Amino acid sequence: MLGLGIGNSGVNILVPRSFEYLEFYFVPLASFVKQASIFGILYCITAFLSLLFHLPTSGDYEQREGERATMYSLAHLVSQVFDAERLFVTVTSAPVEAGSADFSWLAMPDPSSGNLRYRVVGTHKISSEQIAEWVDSDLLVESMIGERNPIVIQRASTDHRLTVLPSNGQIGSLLAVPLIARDEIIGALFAAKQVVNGFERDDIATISVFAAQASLAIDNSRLFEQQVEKERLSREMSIAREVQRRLLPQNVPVMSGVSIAASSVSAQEVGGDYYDFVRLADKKLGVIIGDVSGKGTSAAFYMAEMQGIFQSVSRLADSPADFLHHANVALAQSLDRNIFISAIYAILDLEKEEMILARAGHCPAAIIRLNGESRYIRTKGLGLGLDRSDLFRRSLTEEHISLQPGDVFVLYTDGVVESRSSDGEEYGYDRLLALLNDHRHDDADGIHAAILRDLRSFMAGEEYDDDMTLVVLKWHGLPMESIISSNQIVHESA
Amino acid sequence: MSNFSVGFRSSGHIQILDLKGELDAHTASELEAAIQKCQRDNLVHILINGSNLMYISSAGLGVFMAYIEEVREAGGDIKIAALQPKVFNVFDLLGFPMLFDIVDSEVDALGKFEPSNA
Repeated sequence: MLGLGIGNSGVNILVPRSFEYLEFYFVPLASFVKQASIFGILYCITAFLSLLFHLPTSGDYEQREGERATMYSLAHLVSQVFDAERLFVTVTSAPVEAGSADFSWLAMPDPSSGNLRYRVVGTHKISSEQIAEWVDSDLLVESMIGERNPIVIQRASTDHRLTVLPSNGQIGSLLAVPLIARDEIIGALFAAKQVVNGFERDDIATISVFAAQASLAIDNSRLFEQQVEKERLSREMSIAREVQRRLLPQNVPVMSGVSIAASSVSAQEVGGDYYDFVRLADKKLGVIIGDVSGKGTSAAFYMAEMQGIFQSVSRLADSPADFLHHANVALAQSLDRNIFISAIYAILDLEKEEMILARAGHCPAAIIRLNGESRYIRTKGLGLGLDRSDLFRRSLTEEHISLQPGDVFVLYTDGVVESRSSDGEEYGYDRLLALLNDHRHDDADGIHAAILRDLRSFMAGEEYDDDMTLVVLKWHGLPMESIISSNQIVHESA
Repeated sequence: MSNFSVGFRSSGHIQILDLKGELDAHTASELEAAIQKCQRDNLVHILINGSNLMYISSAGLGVFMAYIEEVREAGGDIKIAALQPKVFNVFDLLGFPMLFDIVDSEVDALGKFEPSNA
């Protein structure tokens, strides 16, 4: 039309009058100018139209707005780390708020199923029942675990992981993004639209970026929770440890002619080892050592019970075997079938100058005399709690040992003889007896310290992996009031 | 990772469990699971072969105590054979030979079970 306008010169106001002269006088130049003009006009129109088409539409504005909202909630994620519930709400609603989806929900591994199944922890604009009905979250998560990439289902009705009837048309397309923290999938964010082919590249990118941030926030929130829980537990445990420490004697008894040293080390905060003393008469001392099977908290409870029984029953019992029998009856009520307690109860009677021992399944006490004669006192006896009939009483035998000046008695728990060196060798009974022989001239403190020293060098830096208790008594002879030196007591914990 | 394992064999109506490695508080659950499996399969004549058991802790011994009553009530028994001397010592200190048949060889232990009436 423009060409026509130019051709029909004279009437067209678009064509300057001077052009008519140019066409008349110099045809090639006129033709060039004509073509250049046409090109110029076409170029302008094209440029104008393309400008028009690239102007942002209202949809674009909405998306921008959504993205801004996403960025805003990203910033808020950080501050919600301390409140897991609110964090889940924010994460769940973000895809819808950002305008990238119509519904969204968040699923996380269910600890009660051993993290194998996923549980919906938050929903937005959709109910958990609807999700359960329409979507096989487990299957989707399974596919995600392999690839660790977002799954995009543009046509929900054709995918076997979704049971959407075209008639109800609730979910047209679906996007599932894995939440990955520290190289582990900690959950999945699902976003769905009513329309098919609803997710464009932008949407997927926006939600993926958001998911990455959300993973970090959720992971931090969990670390924070764990830390709080850990601190609470460690506070509780330190209280338990303090209570247990008070159940053990705070000082060793002072008796003329006798030196005593004792210590107990727990492998964990609390343990199942027990030792105690009871003054039965002016010149009569009861000594007990016990070891609850297993270790840690459960053992510590039974240890506390043992302490109660010892403190109340020991004064009433006529002999060590008698006491152990009563203790077995008392413990039968509360001990689990797989728990038992080994113990030695010894009575040091300075009036009669004898030591009477009974052993209920415990590591045998060692005796070493001044002349180097040494042995383990291995009387018969079942562990406490192993039998509830009178087989227990019948199994017990006692040994009476006439005291000679210089006699050393060593009571210990299996943690001592079963301590291992770095190459797995056990400390053992022979080594203990040999060491006692070398130190038999020391007082109780000296012998006690020598055993711990030797154990430490034997283990060469290995951690104690069992509770370890050691009680040393030495009879110096009657007129030795002056040499009582030992009243120290050590509590350690590995 | 675990240095303990249980092998299953059978001789007639007797289920033999071969223990290997170290039985302690951490590995006790594996022996528990093995004995529970025997109970589920109605195999109550259980023979523990300890020839490859290198260490046992009190928690390990507790497993035997936990199940012996049930097994005996069901008409069976747990017998223990071929323990290493050091491991036997742990059983012996606690008086286990008074509660269990603990014998030197698997053959002796098999002989101590009553013949099957099936």
